[in-house]
Amino acid sequence: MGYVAVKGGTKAIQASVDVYKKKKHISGMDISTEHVKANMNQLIDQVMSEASMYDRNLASHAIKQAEGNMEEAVFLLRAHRSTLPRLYYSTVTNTREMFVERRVSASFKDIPGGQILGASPDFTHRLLDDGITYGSVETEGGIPDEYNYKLDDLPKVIDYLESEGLFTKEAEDNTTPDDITKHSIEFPSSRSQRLQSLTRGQTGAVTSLGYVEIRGYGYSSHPNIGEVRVGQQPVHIDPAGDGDEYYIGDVELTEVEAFMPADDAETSGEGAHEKTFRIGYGLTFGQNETKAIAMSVLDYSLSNPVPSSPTADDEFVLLHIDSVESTGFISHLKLPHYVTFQSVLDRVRQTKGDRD
Amino acid sequence: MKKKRWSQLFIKFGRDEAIQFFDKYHSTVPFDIISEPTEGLTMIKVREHAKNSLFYMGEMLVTETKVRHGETVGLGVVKGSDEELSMAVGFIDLCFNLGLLIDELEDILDALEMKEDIYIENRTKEILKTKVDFDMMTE
Repeated sequence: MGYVAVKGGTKAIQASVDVYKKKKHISGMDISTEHVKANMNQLIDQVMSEASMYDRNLASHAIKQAEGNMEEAVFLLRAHRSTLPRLYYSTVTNTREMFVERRVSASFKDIPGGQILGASPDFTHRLLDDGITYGSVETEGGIPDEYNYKLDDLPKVIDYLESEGLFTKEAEDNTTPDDITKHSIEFPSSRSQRLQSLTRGQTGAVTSLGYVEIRGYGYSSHPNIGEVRVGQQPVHIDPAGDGDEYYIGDVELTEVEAFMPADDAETSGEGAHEKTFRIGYGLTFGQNETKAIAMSVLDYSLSNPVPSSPTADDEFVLLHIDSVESTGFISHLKLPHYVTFQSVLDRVRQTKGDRD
Repeated sequence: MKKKRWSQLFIKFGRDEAIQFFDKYHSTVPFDIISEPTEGLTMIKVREHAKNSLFYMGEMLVTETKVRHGETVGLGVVKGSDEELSMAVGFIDLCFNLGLLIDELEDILDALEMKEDIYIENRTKEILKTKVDFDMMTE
């Protein structure tokens, strides 16, 4: 059978779009973008994080339009982003200035500023609740007298490790970061490419590979979470470059620093390695704690590779965690492949014919 | 007052006040619009704390407006899609750069600082209600 080019299906495609739109509204009920924005914070956070674009209104719009389909919502937001000009780069954003709304350490019970649970589903029963109500938190009473910290200036837990001599802070590296939205990742990847790729990775993919790393296919050790913090991070620009910055708004971030015990490069006189701690780093838009923790695990595994470990292979990890790329490739398989399949078919028939 | 400070007070705590200021005074300071409120992106550059290096974590939607009086330019860049606030902040920046209406602006900013203090105190109280008291756990 020869190859015959065909075209067609325009009417069928239009009809399919019509049926799809009708199916979306078959119940006759609708929710507004404002409803999505008001009630689906965690979903909005995931979409913004994977789309690598922060705007709660646009993310809510994308979620509504995508009928709650994550990959579709991320695709819509990425596509919208591609229509907008990049006007500015922020000045260096330092998370030490974050207004902390939640902050816990799994490594130390007593940390300066305390364990602040904030808003989290961690302590709720995982039972479907048909009596959900919403209310405000009472703010009666004052700030405890003994509380001497400001929430936008809380010490970091790594400061404590450093003060004990268990972690050595590296000198500031002010190298201009690579930008994977402008130039494709090249391997071996740079640290800035890895972190940018991980923070916009698909939540499920990043989490799964982080789990793989811990379970026995990489570093294979239980990391200790030094600190998870969630809060509002101010962003500034300096268009004139004279140090006189403008504030342009806050973004909600989740930041994780995971402690990994490691042999120091320096050895003692008897040849034994001294133990020290290294840090795996995670940072995401919104409150995405699981993803940020997994990111810190993968950051560590890619920065301190275990030979032959899949999660130490930057090409393996970074080229497969992007939502738009992976779901786009997988879903394209259902599109017409008549020509390529015809070629396969011809070869199979040929080999059968040869055998017969 | 530094740009960083006044822009934070207006954008975070004084949207209404900024727009009211613009509505009240924009006809008293003649200006040209260089660029109307336009949506665009700002890439956020972050310092991470494992290796102390920099990386780009993603972009945020912003609205930008540029206005001009003579050779002096006013810039209004605000998070999200907010044409009114962007225009008002651009006008306020122009006033600061021209040295005009400073007393009026400082009166507003004094009030916004009080508003900020109240917000931070209430928010801090709310958040610290969730601070774990380990001593209590042993009782």
